[in-house]
Amino acid sequence: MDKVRIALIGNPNVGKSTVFNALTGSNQQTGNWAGKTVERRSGLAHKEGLVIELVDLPGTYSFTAYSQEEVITRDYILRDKPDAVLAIVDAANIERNLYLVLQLLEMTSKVVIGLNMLDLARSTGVDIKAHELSRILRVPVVEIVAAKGQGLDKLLQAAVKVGHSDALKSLSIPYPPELEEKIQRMEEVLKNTGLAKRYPLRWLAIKRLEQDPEIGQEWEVRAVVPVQAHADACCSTGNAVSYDLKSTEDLPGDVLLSELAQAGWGQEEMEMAFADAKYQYINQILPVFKSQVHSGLNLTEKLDQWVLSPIWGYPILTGIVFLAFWVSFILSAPLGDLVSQGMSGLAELVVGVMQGLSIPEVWQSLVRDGMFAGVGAVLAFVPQIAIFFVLYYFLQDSGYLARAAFLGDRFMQMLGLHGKSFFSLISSYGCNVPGIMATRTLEDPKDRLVTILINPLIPCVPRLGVMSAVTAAFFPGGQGALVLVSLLTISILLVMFSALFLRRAVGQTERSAFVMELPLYHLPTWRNILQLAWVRTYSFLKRAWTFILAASVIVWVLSSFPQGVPMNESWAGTMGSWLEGIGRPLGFDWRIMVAIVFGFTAKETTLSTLGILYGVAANASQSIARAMTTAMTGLGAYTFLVVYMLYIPCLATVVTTYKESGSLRWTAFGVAYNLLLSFAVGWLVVQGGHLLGLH
Amino acid sequence: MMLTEFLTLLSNPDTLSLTELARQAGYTPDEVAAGLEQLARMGYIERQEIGQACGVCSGGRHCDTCSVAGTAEPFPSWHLTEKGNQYLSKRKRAER
Repeated sequence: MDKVRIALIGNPNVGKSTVFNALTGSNQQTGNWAGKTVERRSGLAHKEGLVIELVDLPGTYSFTAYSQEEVITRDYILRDKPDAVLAIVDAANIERNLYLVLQLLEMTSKVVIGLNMLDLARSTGVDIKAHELSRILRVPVVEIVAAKGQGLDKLLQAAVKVGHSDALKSLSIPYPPELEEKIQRMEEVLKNTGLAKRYPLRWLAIKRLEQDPEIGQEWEVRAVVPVQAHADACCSTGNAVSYDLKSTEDLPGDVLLSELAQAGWGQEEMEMAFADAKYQYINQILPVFKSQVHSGLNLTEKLDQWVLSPIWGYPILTGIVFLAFWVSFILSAPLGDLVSQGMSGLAELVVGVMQGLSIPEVWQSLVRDGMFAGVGAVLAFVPQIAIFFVLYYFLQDSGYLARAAFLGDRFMQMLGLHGKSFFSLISSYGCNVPGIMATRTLEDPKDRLVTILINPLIPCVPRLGVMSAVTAAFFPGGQGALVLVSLLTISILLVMFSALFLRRAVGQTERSAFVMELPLYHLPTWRNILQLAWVRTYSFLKRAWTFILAASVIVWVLSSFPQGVPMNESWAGTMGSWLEGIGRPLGFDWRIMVAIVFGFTAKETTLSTLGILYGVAANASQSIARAMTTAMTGLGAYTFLVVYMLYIPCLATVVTTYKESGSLRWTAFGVAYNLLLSFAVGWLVVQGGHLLGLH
Repeated sequence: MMLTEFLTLLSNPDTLSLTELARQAGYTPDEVAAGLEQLARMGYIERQEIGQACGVCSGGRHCDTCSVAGTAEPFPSWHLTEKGNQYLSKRKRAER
């Protein structure tokens, strides 16, 4: 033999291409596999006067027929029969990788295993004994570090040696007796067919039992003539097999398959049983060749013992949320005042210039009392919101937010909500619109509807931002953090109450859970955190000079016309007087009611509307925070925050609710439910406050 | 029957972390992760991530505010699919 053909296989990302590149250098050819969109790479290597053709097969996890890559790889090994197959295995993930190797060994015994990334595995305390693995699998195992080029010569040498040798006795995976019996029966049916001469019989029998669709296609094309020749031998087994193959249903073994299906061994049961048996076998042999240095619990495991504890987890979660809000209030308070003063000063400067240019008073008022008052009121809270985002991403990047979500779902289990509902609710803390869209993953329309309807009760980040800003104005420092924690608790309790109520209303009964992968704890990357916080803050700022500016102009027009009348007799004042009756039991004046209505377009508009209606920019010493604290008591502010958190989230959310539920009736129900609930809870807060002697 | 055992545990109403599932089933987290990936390839379970809805809202304004948009570490989780549910129901019927 002057030329050896070696195929490279492996799971994706195990370093297979690194091995291929290192062995072939620049002698590579690329193209596509015939009739497929998958790239084909081959190359030449020279060793001791020998030409070695290396074929880099697509990375794949198994040799079933789930993807093009799997079919290509399998077909190449079975039909093109390379002289040897190099299986590259990631030592750090050997449990996953061996599944492919076991399937490979059922197809050919001419295999060499390249045990890659052993250095990485050893750094985590894992050691793999290559000689033991080789003994068990009956193929050579070579330790390599592909990234450093270590062990590659030895690997190629082993592959050439296997390529030159006759086929060895391959490993026969010991399946449970109930499967072995079925394999043998299928082998009996297939052993005299033409395909049995081209493919390993045991592998063929297993694939037939699994009803592999590619095998069916194969037989339709190739098996007619050779199988006909052996019809008698086949039929003597007692199976009435037709060899005039026109469709997959007519394949040999159908009778046996239907017999097995009647006994409860359908295609899915077979597929699962064979996969299960292979993993079971891997678990059996693992302790022989793999050892792990146990250095006790790692940091993540130690922390999770407390953080995920059913007893300590929730107090820790509350403490962390409290701390995050407290830090944001302490740090942002002086910055917010600076922005307020800056905006007032700038308003005066611009108006001064306008006066110098003799621009009419009405335009000066628009700039000062409309644009600067509205946009300035929102901008004054930007430091608060920016710091909030930084803390939010700090918790996320550290790995804690995933734990908080996990604890939250445990809480939700009491409601019997579908596991996927929880995902939608968590997304809603970012924004209710994608949160409602996330309900698309729920198959049951009742699950979906309940989740859509309770979704707006979760305060999104813009709502949380405005809430924390208003809270900071009324309740400084630790008191504010307590207020926000209590508000979030109210929101969660109402989600629970509403879920229980709505589940009954729509007749939903079942819940299914899920398994969550929790990331390791690690020190957050400040660059990442600041970048993400900046994106979110910038998005908030962008809205300030686009949407909020336009809304401010509209509110200014409504609050300034008809001209020459006091503000409470303006169009906005008239509208407010209609709504005042609804707000009176909660202690809201007409300004707050108008701001609540305008907040329906976008939550931040509430702040700009209050800024205009309280005449923030008309008085340089007046910040929105001061204006609000003058106009409202602490109890009034808390009531406002409750109503603000719970009433209709925003126009976009309502539109999305309609689009996703497809029902005007349920959308109207959702809007009415939120409104009624928010005002009812607000009223309870007022009454409770009065009972406690609060004002 | 490792894979079947994972499927059965996934059908329980309790949400588990991967480590808890490993502890309950008596395997290492690496073995569980490998098994779950296999079940996903076979179509019995699926992997989802919080904030996945970003993919369906076409990169619009609201996607900017999605809870995990742009982060390196979303919260991955494994759920039973319709195929997985049907398989377990069939299995339960057969066991009766």
